[in-house]
Amino acid sequence: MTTLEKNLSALRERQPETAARVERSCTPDGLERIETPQGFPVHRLRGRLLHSQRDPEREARKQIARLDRPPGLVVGFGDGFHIEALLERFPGAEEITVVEPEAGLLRAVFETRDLSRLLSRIRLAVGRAPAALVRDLTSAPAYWYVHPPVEQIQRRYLEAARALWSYRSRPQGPVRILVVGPVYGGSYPVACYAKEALSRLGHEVAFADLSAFQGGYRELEAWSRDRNLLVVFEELLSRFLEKRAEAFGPDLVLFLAQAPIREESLKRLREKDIRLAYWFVEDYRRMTYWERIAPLTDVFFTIQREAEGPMRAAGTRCVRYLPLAALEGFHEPLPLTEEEQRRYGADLSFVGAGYPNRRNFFARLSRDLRIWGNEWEGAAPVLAEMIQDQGRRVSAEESVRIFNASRINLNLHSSICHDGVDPHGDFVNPRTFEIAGCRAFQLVDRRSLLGELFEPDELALFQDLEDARDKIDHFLSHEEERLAYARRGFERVRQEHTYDLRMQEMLGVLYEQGLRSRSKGKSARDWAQEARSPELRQYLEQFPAQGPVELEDIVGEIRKKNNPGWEDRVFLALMAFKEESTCRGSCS
Amino acid sequence: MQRILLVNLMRMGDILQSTPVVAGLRRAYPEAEIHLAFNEAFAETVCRIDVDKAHPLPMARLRDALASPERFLDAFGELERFGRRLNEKGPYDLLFNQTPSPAAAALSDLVEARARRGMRLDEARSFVPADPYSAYLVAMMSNRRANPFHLVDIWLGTLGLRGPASLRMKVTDQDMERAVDLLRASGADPERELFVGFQVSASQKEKCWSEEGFARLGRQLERNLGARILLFGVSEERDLSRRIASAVPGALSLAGRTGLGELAALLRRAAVLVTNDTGTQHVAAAVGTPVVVVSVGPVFFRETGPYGEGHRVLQARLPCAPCSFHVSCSNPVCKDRIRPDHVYTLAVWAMRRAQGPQPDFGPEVRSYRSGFDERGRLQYEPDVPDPDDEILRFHKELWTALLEGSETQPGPLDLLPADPKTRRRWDRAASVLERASHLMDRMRTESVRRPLNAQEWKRLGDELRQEEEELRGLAREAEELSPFVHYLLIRRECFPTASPWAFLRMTSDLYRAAAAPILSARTRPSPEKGGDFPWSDRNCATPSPGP
Repeated sequence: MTTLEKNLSALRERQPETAARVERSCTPDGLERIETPQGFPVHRLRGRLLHSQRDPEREARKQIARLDRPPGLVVGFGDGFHIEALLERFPGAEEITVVEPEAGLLRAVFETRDLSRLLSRIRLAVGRAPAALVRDLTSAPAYWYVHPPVEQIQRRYLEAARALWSYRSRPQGPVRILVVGPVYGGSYPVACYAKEALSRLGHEVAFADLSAFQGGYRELEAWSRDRNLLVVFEELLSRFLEKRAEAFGPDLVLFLAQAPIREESLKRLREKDIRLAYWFVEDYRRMTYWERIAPLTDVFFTIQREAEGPMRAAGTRCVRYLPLAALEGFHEPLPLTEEEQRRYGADLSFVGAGYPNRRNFFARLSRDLRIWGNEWEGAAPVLAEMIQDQGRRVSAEESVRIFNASRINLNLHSSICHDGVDPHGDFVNPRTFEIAGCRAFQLVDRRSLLGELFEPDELALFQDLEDARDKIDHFLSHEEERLAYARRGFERVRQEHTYDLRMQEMLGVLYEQGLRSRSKGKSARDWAQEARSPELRQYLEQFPAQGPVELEDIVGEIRKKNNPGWEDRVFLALMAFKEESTCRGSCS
Repeated sequence: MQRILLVNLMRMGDILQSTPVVAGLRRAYPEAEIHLAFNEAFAETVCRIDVDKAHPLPMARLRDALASPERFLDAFGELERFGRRLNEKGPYDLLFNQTPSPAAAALSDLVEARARRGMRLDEARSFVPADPYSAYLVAMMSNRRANPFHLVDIWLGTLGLRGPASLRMKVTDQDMERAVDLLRASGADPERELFVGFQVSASQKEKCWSEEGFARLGRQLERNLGARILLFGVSEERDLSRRIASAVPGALSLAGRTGLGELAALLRRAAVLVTNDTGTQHVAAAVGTPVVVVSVGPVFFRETGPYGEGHRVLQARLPCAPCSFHVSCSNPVCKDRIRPDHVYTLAVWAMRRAQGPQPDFGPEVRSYRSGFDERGRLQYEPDVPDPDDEILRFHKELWTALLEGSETQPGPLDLLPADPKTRRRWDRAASVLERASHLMDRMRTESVRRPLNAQEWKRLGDELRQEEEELRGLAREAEELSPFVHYLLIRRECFPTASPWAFLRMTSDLYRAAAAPILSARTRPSPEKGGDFPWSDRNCATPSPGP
């Protein structure tokens, strides 16, 4: 029996499913084995040693000696030395749960050391999504033991888990959130998804939908090269957004990339004690307007890990990496009609705008490809017949159908500086999550941040044109493999990459940064108890007893009535006075 | 006994401008009890005017409570008590809400009344004008420069009252004594000196003439007439007042040192008040002191200038003057155009209550003097006749016809705009109204004869919408038409919609009546061209079928 089999057998006795998961996993990218003077190897993952190369046992004992009580949870299995030290230091401790996000690493470790004794004393949580982990936890992150290298190797996992914990243990009920998207563009649907997810979480959400201004904005763009004119238009929208915020009275305003908000407006909103978050869902190197916006926000979320440093250096209070996601209930497997299958189906499809690298790459691909999306004007003749519907814009709903109907969805991240694949590309585009969320198969170009979001067996990658051709041919003739990838990618998205989770994570960070509902959230029952007259008490008791109630809620209900009574009319008058005061405040 | 409630939640000047309304009501209904609901902050003003009962609304407390989500029940308590107090003795016979705000309309809605005027809430809880004059006031917001009527006259008109009237305010002997004491304590001789009052600040900085301008004017008045300048204001304006006082020999800074009584008494002693657009100008008007207003920025003297005879106004001659509502001007050249020597000349004219040859300040500045027209309405006549004011005379004629006649039978209109282009536009508007009116009559009569199907309703509705769209287009094209079109659309919005036939009849009558004075006037010869009007064939109105 090999060491691997011995370990798997020990694990199988207590956790058969986990054992199976480890057994079928692949070795993660960037894993190296390093020999030590003691004769057993340790591992280096993505450039970081999991333990001391000189004496891992001694190092582990030293680290654990600092603990004064056994932790409820250990994050990171490493090569297991710290867990052995932990069991040695706290022999009578209750069963310890050890979370190892990467099953492939565990398999590699199982191949090198006999850990069967250790495995009989712990519970392993392998590849368990942060949300699931947090849901079942009883101890706060302060009582977790995080194996030090994991802070870097599994940074994303830990950030998500901690933020989700903050969200779970948030100080109060719902908050009022104003979501602001752009006038148009790629971040517009992201704003809609964020709004939807926040509403589902039970928060009071308003969406400042600026798409109504699209016609005017495009007209200005088309007819004037004078950038100042657009700035004037943006200033107008920015003031409009302030008005929206005044009317809604949010605790938090969440801006998506390209939201037309000016610095002065951000300052004025901050003065009103409104928390400001910004999700910059685009490339910080190409779009540099973040430099003037980010320092004025409470938390600036980016889809690039590398952006954190420059953004902090620019004076931003808090910068957090927050990748994109898919919207559960929207990006999902769909049963398609025959007509839809005919209309949208293909062996190989691509949905997206005609960036230069895509034009070049697809022109040389020499495969039968259906291209959906806009901004393909002036494409090479070879592409002309691939472009569907004269390159019109494809709606989000249609995209979902195309993903579902295609055997292979090609996903090439955009670039304006490369001929094809950007070898240094980092962030992961929304399409990656959306295709996976549809349980559809995709071939995606390699990105440096994919590794911590998906396991290698969850997404099929290509690294250049030739590789793409080979993989297309391979996967077209291996349906089982395609389906397996799609299934595993889908499960990962559902567990870790939904907008519901992203929004919990975002709010978790904002709670850490002091976000609070400015109303103490008294329920109608609380208010009724404070009422001086029995009539008012009785009136307030008609509202649901649970959940916070404010003047706006009461007035909202009254406005649905046909014949308002005395109390109704007094509340309506109060609201009118309140609105007048707000306007006066903002006009002065 | 009849009971009448005025709801005026505005500031001191607006409360004083209510006094002609109170006086008019007293004349028309000598037995009536007149009540006033007002903002508690202006209690000092209200106790000096002639109402039988005043109901202070603690607006500051209300706003404080509303500013905190935790305290909205306190605010509820304040407002509920206020409403119940007003309803204690049953419904009022008449409620006139003078305050053009949704909050005041909602507050008025809490009070029981048999008849309502002014701004109110309709059944759908929308903020609407309850009567033609109030609709006029709202419509004028779209082009205030076209408004020939003073706010006081609009209020009087709302209630069917007539001027000439004057602002009134009680000034007691004690007030006069305190004023004398204050002057003596400041080293002035109240009996022998010539006093000129200055009010150098205003509620908005856009309404203020320059500090330097006031200082130079003060020096000129002191040097040439030996006048002592009295600078008024509240305590927050003390610094500005002191700065100007220090630049003018003998000037006294009284900012923050006078209550309303002393202010009124001092103004009564002053020969003239020179002021920006402020509440102080109405106090001066109420105590009979002539006022010179430097009308800059968004100030429009025709709306809210000092009410009464013999007041003077200076305004720069600019196409943008006064600023439209909600305009934030970054280049207020109007302030620079008015020079201290202009104001000086007018102040001298005003304090001497001089008649005879009028001052002419050249092409950049216009001056006006106030008086009453034959109908007892305040008017500001230009000292030098100005072609720009011609169109205003037409507006005055037209609105008099529409507002003083009934909505179905307007009064006659003798005057049409002299400018052919402008006349064509008005004629087009009248023709569209005629056509729309005719169309509505058709809809009504055809649907009575036989039930129309949905398609027929839609077709006729589309035709009507097209006519109204043309009307809106005219308003967009020519600013001077905008209040007229808005007025009709606002009035139409206020008609009950429960019965489509009644709605169509009322709207048709309204449109036809609005067109009638213009159409009837055009059949008379033009004063300039002897009847050769440039009417286009296309715009010939369809003969009206009659009501």
